[in-house]
Amino acid sequence: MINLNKISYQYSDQDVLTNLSLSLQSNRINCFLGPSGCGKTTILNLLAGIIQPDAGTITGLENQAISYIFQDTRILPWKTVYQNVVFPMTGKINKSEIASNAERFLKHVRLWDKKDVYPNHLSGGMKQRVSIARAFTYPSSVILMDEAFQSLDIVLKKHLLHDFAKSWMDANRTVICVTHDLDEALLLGQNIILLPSAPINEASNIKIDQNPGMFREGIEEYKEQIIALMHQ
Amino acid sequence: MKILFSKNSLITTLAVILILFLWEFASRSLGSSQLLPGSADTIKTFFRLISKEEFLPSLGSTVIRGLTGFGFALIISLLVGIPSGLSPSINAFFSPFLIIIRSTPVISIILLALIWFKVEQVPVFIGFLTMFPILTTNLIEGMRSVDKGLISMARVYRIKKIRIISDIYLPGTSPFLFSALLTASGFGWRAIIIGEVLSQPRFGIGSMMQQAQSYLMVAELISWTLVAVIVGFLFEQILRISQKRIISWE
Repeated sequence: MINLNKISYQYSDQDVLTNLSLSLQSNRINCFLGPSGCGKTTILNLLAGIIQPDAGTITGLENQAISYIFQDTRILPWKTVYQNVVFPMTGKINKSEIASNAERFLKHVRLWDKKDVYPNHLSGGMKQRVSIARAFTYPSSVILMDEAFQSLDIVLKKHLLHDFAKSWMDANRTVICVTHDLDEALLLGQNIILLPSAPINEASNIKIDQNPGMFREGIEEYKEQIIALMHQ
Repeated sequence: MKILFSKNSLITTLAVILILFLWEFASRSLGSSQLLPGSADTIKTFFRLISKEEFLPSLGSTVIRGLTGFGFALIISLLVGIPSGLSPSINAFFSPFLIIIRSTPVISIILLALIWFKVEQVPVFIGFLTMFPILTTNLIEGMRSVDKGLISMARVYRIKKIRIISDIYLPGTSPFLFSALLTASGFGWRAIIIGEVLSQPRFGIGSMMQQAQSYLMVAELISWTLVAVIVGFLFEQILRISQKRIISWE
């Protein structure tokens, strides 16, 4: 269990988080859902250690390896697809394990045949799939994901959500993602945390005890519940 | 692309013909092969010159001096530029050195170098001082332009600092570095030849130019100039080929 205890954070003298406490489930997909600019990415950056809270503590992430799927992919233009995927692991675990992990996840995201291609020959969706394969290939216990499917068209988005779900079911790690897209949260999330506009001081959540993917049951009811909670 | 290339080659060929035509025109107008020999005479002199005994030692000495100056400038600019690009404090320390080197007139450096160094070393030192600030300034600029998002990605994945430098900063900086190498080498070869003209080592393109000038052998002076142009051009081509190979991802 990962806990945020009374976290406060200011950005340019504006309160983003004030005294926020919440719990995230291990080995599940935790999905923060909230409007753009509400401070979702701030929560991820705090969890990743990219920024530090002004007050409060985060427990459950001490000495844990973290993967991050960024909104803007952040893959290295001078490395091939395969080199990008293995980049975080080189020198950390043995080569055969790296190779077999990379192959497994590149196949999940349907990029194995493009493994020797440089990113400038890839589409935006393909670059995001490289970023997903990199996150899963890295032996982390937590994967953070920031609006990773935002800039993609609806068909590509569905394909990518499917690739992500397939990779997650293979590795079963704690995922913490943020999105402003309700459908995306309903497809992926097992613990959906609703965030109000900044400053955030409390959050309600909804649990969906099903695998991620297109064929979840009772999605319409969950949707109504979430919309009702959002309007409270 | 192919059509564009052949069109541009045609334009370049026409420009070369124009230069030869203007040269021939100027030479005939002056009417003195002593002051400005015609292109045919100069080409004959050029071929006679390359068969001379002192040609290879002179060419070789200048090339070795050029490469030595270039090598030193590159190594020291990496040693200064990488830490300066990473740390504003280190940059603040080195910046007065760079400003002084950049703004001192080359002739002052040559005159001082003539006092401080052996004649063989003067051109290398001048070449180094000409190239070093260009390379270092561009390297620092390149390091600063590297996408900070890639650095924070590497930090999240707990990549060691040394690999952040070798796998992110250096490849990210390499387009800047190559364009600086091309500019620096252009200035560098000229500076080395000026150094040779003034310090007069036994062999060197600049020494040969100085001798030709003393005896008013204009055809020979132009021929040595042609040798210098070819050396600079070939070096630039080698740099461009390396650039294409190293920056293969673009």
